[in-house]
Amino acid sequence: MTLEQLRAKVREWDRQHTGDPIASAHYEQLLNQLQYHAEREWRVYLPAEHPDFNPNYMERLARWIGNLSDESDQKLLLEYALYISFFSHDDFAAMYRTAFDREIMPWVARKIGADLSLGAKQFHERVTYQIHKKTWFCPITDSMDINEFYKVNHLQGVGHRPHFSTLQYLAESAGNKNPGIAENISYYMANPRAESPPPPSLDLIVLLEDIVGSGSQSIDAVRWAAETLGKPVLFIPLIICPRGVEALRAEEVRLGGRLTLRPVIELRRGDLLGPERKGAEGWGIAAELECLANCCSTDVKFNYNPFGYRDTGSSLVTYSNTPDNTLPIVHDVGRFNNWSPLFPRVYRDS
Amino acid sequence: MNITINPFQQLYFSDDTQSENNYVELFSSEVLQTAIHPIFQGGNVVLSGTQGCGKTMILSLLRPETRIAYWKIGKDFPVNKQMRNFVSAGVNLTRSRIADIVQVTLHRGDEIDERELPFYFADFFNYLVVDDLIKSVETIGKHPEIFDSTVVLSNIDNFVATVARQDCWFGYLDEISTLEDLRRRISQRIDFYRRWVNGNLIDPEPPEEIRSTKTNIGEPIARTADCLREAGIISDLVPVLIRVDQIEELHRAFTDRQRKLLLLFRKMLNRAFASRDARVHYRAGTRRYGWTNPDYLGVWGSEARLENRRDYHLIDMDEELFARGETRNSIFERFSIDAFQKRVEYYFKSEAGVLKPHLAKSIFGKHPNAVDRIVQLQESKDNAQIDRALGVDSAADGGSWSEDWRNFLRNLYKQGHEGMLDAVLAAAWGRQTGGARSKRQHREDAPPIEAPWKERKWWRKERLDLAVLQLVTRCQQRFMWWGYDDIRSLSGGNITVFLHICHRIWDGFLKNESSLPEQRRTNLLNGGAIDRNIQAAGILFASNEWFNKLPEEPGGNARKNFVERLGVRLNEDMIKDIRMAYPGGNGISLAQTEFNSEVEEVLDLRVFLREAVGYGVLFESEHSSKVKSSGRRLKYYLNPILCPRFQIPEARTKEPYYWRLDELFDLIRKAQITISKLKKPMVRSNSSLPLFPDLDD
Repeated sequence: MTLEQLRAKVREWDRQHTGDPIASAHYEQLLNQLQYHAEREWRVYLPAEHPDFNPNYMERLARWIGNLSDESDQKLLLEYALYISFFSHDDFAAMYRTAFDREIMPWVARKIGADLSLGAKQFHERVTYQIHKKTWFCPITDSMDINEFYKVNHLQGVGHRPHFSTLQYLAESAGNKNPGIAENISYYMANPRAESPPPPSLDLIVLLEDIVGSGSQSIDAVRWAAETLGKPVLFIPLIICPRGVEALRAEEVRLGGRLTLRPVIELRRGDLLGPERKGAEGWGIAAELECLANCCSTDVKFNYNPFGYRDTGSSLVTYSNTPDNTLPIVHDVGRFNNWSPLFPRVYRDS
Repeated sequence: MNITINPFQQLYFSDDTQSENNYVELFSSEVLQTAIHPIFQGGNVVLSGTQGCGKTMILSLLRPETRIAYWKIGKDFPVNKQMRNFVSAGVNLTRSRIADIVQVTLHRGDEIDERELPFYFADFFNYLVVDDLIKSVETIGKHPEIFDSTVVLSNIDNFVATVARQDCWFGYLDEISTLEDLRRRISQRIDFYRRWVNGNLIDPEPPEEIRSTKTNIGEPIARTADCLREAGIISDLVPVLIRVDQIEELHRAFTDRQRKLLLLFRKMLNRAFASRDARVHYRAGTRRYGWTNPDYLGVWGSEARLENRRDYHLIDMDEELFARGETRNSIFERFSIDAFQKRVEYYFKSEAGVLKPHLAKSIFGKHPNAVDRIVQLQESKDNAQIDRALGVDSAADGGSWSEDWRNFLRNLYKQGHEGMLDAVLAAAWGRQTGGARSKRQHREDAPPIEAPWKERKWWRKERLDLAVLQLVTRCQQRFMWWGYDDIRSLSGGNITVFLHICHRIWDGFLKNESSLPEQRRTNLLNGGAIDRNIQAAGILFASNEWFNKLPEEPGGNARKNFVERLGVRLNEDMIKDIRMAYPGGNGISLAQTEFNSEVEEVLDLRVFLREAVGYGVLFESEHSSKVKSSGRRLKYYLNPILCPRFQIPEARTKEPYYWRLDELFDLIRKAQITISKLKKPMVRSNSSLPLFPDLDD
């Protein structure tokens, strides 16, 4: 379906009398809202810059809705489009600032025993020194833009910021176990730079990740960091789903204070679709959407379960990619390339 | 054609004080009818109208900056040459923030605030106006090439000396000798007020210098005008016109304290009008609700009320210029066409060349007739569907149809869209009895050979819109509007509503164009027209936006709920009226005898409805009852722009529904609206009531 056709359809839908005496121009209002966001926050979606896709959100929207032939399904998809949470680059910058101000600062202060009875100036100096000189900020995976996190928060230099999922994998899972990796990391933390006089050691670790769904990607990395490096670990997922919260909270308890979990945004079950919603009160159209997602999966043969990886059922998109926890009707092209996604996803592993 | 520009993006240019050039390009002189001429002549004048009808644009013609802008662009100033010789100054109560005095307190209790803050209001007002008057005089005096010798500045020092000596200032201007000093001193006073209302004073009470020199409302302004004449700066024949715009701002209260104080400020302002001072003439711009309530016309310090024709001349733009009650109006038509043309010319001047006249009519096209409105309906051959479309088995239909009649109607229906319409009208005719005394419905006889639903022209004409509404609704479609005449009719005589509709339609057009390849695009500047479906969608969108704006004004939530209930009810009644006995059922009528009762509940209802009229939500007019002995009645219609949302044809063809007051009260109760105002003073009690009296037992 072209955008011109979609507009004509929307006008036709609003001309239909649905039983409600009030003619609210509902679909035109939806389309206008979507266009508003498309011209602003949703303007940049990196995977759609590829020649295989259309960088224009509205054109993609028309094709996405045109995947379906039944009008009531088309209307439902249009409504769903407004429920999809798009996190723009600016949103991420805001989350980086929130992570820093709301979670990192208080945690660091507690860890070093700084409190305001020292006086505000001294408190600030101690905490700032600890953060900028003696705390190591690293990502779990490369989807977390650690460089931007440093820049937004004006963090000073620790030269190396490895992905901890890679470190953990190399240390524990890639063929032979390699305890030397943990030793080398510990050594690095004790001697971050070869200078004279030597810089202070790094004695706190803050790990960050952009989106955590079930937690399966992050949990091994944070556990390895907390258990093997001997330093307190603060893990900050910027956005986390309920299942991930449960898994990581359990890990927090098990590690007995060595790990602290502080998400920036925590989704509720009602924000999900599918089995992970577990009957929680969700959106007004949740049940219909779940039915539609199941039907589409039957017809289209997506590369994922109907509700995404491990049926997480999220409706999240970021400006750089769509996580596989999100419903495949949003991001997948289907095994036979027979589905036009709204936010095409770039696969991490082939 | 540039598809990124919407010439209707900015609705209000009167508020754009940064650009008189925009004003000059866009102001339509069609509105300067004879009814408006008193604005430029002597006597106090009140210009009233609903939001967006053009009041401020007209009052802006009094500003010297506007006249200068006309001269610079080389356009003739649209005011008659005989009426151009005036000096004007003024204050906009919204922009000046003068009403913010309501936020301060003298910290000596509410009674003292109520007694003394109005004097500070008056004083602030006086200084603002005098400041603007001096500025205007200077501006005019520096441009003799534009204003001739309306102002002669040669004796300015004499003026300053005279004005400073006036006792109305209570010594505040003593020792002022130059114009610069005078302006500075006045600015200091104004500055004090601005800092006071912003809470920027260390001492919360005004200093002694201010407290002891408060001026009487209007007197310093009149004296300044006198001094200008005495010094020969203006002649005795030059009227001094003082603009006071957006008086309704004094009735935007959200707490009881604000309401009381603002009303007192209003009474203080009214005193300036009541003085009927020949030295200056006031020009008030107000929305209707700021002037129709008699409670707002009291005069400070007396029991008197302002009186039309004695204290001021009222020009109700909605009634006098745009005859809001009527759907065709030549002044508004010319005004809207001109305003549209000017906007398009202004925004597309670089590419437009010479545009054809009456662009609004060619771009929006002709008014749809009844058949046009149902052309999107599919022609059906299925009898069950046809019966549903005609409502022959409707629960509301008290009688029954013979097989002859059913076949007759079905055959009629199958004859294309004209036939569909005829069938609906024939069915309605069949259900009628032909006269008040007869009880026998036409359908009890065989179907007629002639077609009275066609031949009786007026009967048919009055019912066409209702027929369309019923037919499209039963076919699960909406009644749609498009074409210049529909847009003009839905505007209800309000230029802002008209421009808003144009904005939404043009916006829909641009969005559609942007999804088309260039060779398929439409050039509206070169004979193109906007597709009817895009127009219909834009109109529906504008209607909903206008509805959603209702809560923006004080008391707007209650009006919104009321309108929602009334709109739905009127639509339901029209759909159920399958006999088409009430083709004018898009409004209600109330008996004046009932409506004018002094019962408190009815009083509150009256205030509520009159406010709804004042805020432009309802239209009201008197009419005589169809029952001769019953006396006069008042009819109320929704503002036409709200009609698309509620699927009510806006044209007023016949008598509206006759309602009793209890039906209206019932509707209000169902809407869960409280219409009574807390007029009684709070009774202070020493004993506090329990929070949960039942639980305390």
